[in-house]
Amino acid sequence: MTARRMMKLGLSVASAGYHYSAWCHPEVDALSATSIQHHVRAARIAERGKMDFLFLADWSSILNVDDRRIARDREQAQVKVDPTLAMAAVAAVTSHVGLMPTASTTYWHPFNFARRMAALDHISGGRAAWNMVTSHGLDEARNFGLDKPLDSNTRHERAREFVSVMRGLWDSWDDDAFIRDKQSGRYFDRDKVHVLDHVGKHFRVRGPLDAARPPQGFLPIITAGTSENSQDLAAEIADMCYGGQPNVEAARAYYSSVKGRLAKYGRTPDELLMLPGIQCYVGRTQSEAEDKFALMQRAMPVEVGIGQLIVNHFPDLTGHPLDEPIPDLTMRDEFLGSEKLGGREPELTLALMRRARDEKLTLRQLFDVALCGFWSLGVIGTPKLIADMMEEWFTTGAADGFNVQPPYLPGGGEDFVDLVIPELQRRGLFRTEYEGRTLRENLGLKRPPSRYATRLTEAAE
Amino acid sequence: MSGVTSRRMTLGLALSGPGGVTKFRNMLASAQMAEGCGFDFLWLTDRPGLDPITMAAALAATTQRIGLIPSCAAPYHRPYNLARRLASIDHISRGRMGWMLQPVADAALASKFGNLPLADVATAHAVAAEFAGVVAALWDSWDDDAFIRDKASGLYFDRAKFHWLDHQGAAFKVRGPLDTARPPQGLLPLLIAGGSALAEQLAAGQGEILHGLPADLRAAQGERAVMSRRLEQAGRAPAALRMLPGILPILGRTPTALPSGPGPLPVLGTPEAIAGTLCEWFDSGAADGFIIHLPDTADAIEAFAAGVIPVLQRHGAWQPSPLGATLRDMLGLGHAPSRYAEQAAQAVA
Repeated sequence: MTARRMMKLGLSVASAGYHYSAWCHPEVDALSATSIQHHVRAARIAERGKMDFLFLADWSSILNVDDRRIARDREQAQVKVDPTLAMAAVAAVTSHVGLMPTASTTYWHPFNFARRMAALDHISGGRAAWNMVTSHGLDEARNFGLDKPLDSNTRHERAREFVSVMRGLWDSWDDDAFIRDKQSGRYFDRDKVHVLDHVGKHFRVRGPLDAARPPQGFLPIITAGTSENSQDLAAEIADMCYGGQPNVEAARAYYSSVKGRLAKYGRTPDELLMLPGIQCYVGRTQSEAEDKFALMQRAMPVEVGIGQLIVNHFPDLTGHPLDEPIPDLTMRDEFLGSEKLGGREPELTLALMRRARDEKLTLRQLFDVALCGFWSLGVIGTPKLIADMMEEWFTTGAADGFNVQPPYLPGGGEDFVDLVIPELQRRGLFRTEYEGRTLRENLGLKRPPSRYATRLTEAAE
Repeated sequence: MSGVTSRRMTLGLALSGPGGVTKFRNMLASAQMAEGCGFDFLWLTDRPGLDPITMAAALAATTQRIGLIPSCAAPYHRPYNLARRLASIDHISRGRMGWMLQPVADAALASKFGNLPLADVATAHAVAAEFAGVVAALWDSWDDDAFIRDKASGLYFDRAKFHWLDHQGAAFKVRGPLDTARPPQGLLPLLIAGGSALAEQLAAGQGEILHGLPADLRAAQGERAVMSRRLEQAGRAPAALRMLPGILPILGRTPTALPSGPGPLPVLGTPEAIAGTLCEWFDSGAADGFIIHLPDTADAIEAFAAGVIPVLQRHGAWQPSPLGATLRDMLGLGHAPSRYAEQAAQAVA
């Protein structure tokens, strides 16, 4: 009898929270972005809820600061602590929760990074994972000697080689290479260390890595993205895939599109977990949840809302009265297809503009729609309502779990852990105790044997 | 010491041997022992095993007062990435981080990375100097008071208080600004391992700590004189660089064989005798403190600390740093003002 399938849940810390003005919430520490206490507190909340992992996003620049129409000076996201280091600090003071920092394959080197992530896995006793991203931002490129970002094909080709080098380096030492026998004075077995000698298009790395094989063998990798390149890369190398679909139909399509590619790489559907993001405002009653959302929206300066619309290809609505319907809008195309501003897919912008026209939304109402649930899954409601939605996604081929994006922290994370998780547990959809010690064990992912151990087994057969 | 600001000896610790390198809990035990014994900082040398920067972050969360200085081999980092990583740990540790920058012209190390050009020694030092300059400038990206974080007005930072770097040098092209706030210390103390004229030049231009390898007191005094001249040439005050020679204490009876060759200076004898030597060097002005090299075991750290440190304290050369002191405080350096604040002050003057 196989164990019942359970949801996997992560808690994503984006500074003070996912709402652009989370830092303005009366209960939130405005210093969250660079406070390690804030990150430790979030980890303890996740651990209390038996959540699988803590997630930290990252990019290596400040954003659109040249463009004064975008009120980045009223947002919290310009400053952060390096997530792999924040996670190392968190690892030292927690014991169960997985640690999933983001790092880019575009501006790091695989040797350093393999070494650093091995250290994080050792320090945490096998709880580290990696959100693998490629960097397409113009602001980032300029911090690393480039005038513009690498194109998508080059980025993904580099990412693929980067991961292959990392995994090769993690296999440098067999699991039993270190003898550390004081009697004989032998520290390691020479036959159990392997030189990688990788020569590829982007990297030349001899190896071996100067660190023991990580407790998990390979650290689990999560990746995201909807492009053909991103989906193929996820199917080829990832253990988890982070999605951003706003509704169940889109999420099902994405789920089957990514999972459908696994066979091409000799993998089975259960080897890749699909984890969409979900932002929720939780209340014991519907009106309590709505009040929490309204409080957050009131804290947001108008300039922030307008700036976010500009990032997402809207015209500049500065000066438009908040409570009057907005006029018919046409999408700006000046930045489409470029990395100048970022922003979501233009189809979503067009859909939002259509909705504004059909429903005669005021500017304030447009902010409400845009800030919760339009560009990604967002829900305002009771634990039952949220659990119903999660259950539907989980049981109808849209998700294997979720990366929870609290709108503000710690309150939003506590609400999820104290109100929603017990509801999921009652329904038998989520664990009541951690199953294992490592993140892989909790995620139900096998520990990959070393490539050299596999070869040995094959030779013996 | 009438008429002179009282100097305080700085005591750093460098550990050798595999010890904590593969097991974090061993490293943590050593770091906590060193902290309990009163060492001002732990130099996390780049030994095989756990990445020293990652380890520093984990130690920052599990210690309260000790400074942490990870080694960083210049060619294997990018200035932007390293600046933000080190600034991050300075935030995590509330100002207890330093960094050691190692110019590398080492074929064995380079072969691991493969695609990086291997520099000759002089070029490696020139690249390291540019590297250190870019990192320091990136730390000044945001003024100390750039972050207003005023919930009432909704203003998070002041646009007038961040600075583009737009650096274009021989080795690096970096636009900036850094995506994290200025580190609590302003500028993290930079440790340079001495032993060559090129290294001394790098330390005079960019360093706050020189780990010298003088063979005796006379040599240490000579090195101090040389460094004072070099600092003057670089337009820096003599006190901007702390001279911390490397010492290898050997407690007790004279061993049969002393370590020879370049490396920290072996000093043997009873704890009182070793403390006497350290005080003599310190009082003569040849050293501002020492980096003590010990095997990575709690016993070795405790034995040195229990025997030698109380004598230094009785002599008045060393006292424990107060809780909340930054590494710059422990070195007697004080908070480093931003270059832009200094420029503004000069413009007003």
